[in-house]
Amino acid sequence: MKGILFGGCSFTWGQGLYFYSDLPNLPFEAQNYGFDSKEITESMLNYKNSIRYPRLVANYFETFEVTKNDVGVLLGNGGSEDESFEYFDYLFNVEKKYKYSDFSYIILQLSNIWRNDFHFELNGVDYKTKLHNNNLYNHVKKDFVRGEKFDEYCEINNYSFSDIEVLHKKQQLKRLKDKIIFYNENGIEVKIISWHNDLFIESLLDDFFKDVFIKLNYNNKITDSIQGLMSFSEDMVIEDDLKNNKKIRCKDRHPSKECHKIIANSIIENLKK
Amino acid sequence: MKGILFGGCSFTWGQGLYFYSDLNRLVYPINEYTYNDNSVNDAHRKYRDTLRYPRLVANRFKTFEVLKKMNGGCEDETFDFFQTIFNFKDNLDANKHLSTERYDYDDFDYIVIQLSQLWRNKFYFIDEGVIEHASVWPHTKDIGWNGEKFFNWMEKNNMTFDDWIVDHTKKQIDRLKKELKFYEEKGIKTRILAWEDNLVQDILKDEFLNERFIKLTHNNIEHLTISGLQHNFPHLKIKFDTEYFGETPPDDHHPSKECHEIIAKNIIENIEKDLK
Repeated sequence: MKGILFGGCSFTWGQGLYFYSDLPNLPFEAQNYGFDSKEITESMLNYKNSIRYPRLVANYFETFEVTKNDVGVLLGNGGSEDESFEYFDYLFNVEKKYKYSDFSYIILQLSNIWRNDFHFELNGVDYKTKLHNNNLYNHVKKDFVRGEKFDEYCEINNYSFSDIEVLHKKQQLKRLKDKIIFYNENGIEVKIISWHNDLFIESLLDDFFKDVFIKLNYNNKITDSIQGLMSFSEDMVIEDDLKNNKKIRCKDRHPSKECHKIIANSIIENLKK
Repeated sequence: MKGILFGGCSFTWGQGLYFYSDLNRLVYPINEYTYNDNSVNDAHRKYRDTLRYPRLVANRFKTFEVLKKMNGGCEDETFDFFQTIFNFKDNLDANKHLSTERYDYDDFDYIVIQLSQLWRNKFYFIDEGVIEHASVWPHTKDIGWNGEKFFNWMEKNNMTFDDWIVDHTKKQIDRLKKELKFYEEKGIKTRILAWEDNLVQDILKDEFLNERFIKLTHNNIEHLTISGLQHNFPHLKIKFDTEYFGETPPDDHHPSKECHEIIAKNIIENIEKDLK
């Protein structure tokens, strides 16, 4: 097998996995979903990379994984499909470190759908905005939340906010499909796992996605999303796992070490087919 | 376990392991002594990472491995590399060819050093009050850098080539022991393994070094060096791995995929004894 390219948010980055290490100065006092890159050392980055699901999948197939580099203000942590596709494009067409032919698979972990920009056109001008200001960008402010132009767009088209939410899902699903087709045409098979199940449920209406979405298997209990895994057992969440099993306190609600293993195994089983 | 820090030459870097991939643009070397960095791309390097023994060892202990960036080298570069990652936190531009990463001593539980060819290490001498160094390859009589000054110095000091070999070997053994002791005092356990046998007899005679020396057992035969292992089992060189490559393997004498697995297994077994 050639390489495997991974896209996703902090769940794929492996936030919090360093809490399983014996390394010094672990940021146990960090608040849930709070992330201060200054507290994360090179060794913590390397450690979390060694036990997150992309490495586990790549190890199984004796090949390499490529994920966003641990660089920048957030050390590559976080993001959504906007950033994942931007990253893929950067990798192949700007940085040009890799060619399409270097990869057999792309595994895309969908994040929270509302992190992606909603695009609309008004009087011949393209705009984009976030629909919900739900603090999902680790305190990094990017773009505005709705605004005048957005209100005007809704008024002219007589859209309620619920209509817009439906439109946004359609936009996301279309973009997802277009991207998958694009990468397929370039010889890379694309598989998807999901944190939330918003788009998963939407995609069931479309046969195209039948073989694309990977369901997650926890002790023969099947779920559509990582959120689902987390509802099966407290051990799937770092905070609860460490509290219950190691008597360590930390406020991190990201996937636990075991959760990464389960995600990896589900992907491996799917790819083996 | 915390991280594991590895030092070594092209044998540790994993030269040639990318030939085991399905990747495109693999360029076989002109001969086994050549390496063209431009023909090895990022995908090849990433693939190599997954098969080389440092990753295999780190995977076993569910932790991370740290290595220098550049291919090749010897103990000179290995110890420079360690210095760089621990001591140049305020100068990220220092020795960029070795690493741009920075760590603390307590980020690691183990250092594993693969010794390269003794003759690659610079020999330092004082000539007319000036510190000089030379690179000397006795068996090929290929005196590299500063050969003329080196011979003059030998003549002035009434030194034979054999005397020099003893002197160089002793200096390398002393340096090795001093460096290992330094890192042990910092709380990092140290291990060594050897490609060639230049230093091995001296290591075995020294209690401190002997305790840290990893022998390579394969098919119930104990080997002191990677070179010995490859001599007994030629297919452990890439160029003789016909089972994988068929009749035309790349002309590359570096450890094969299986050889890396054997090296990893021996290191793992050694470390596991500590953990029991």
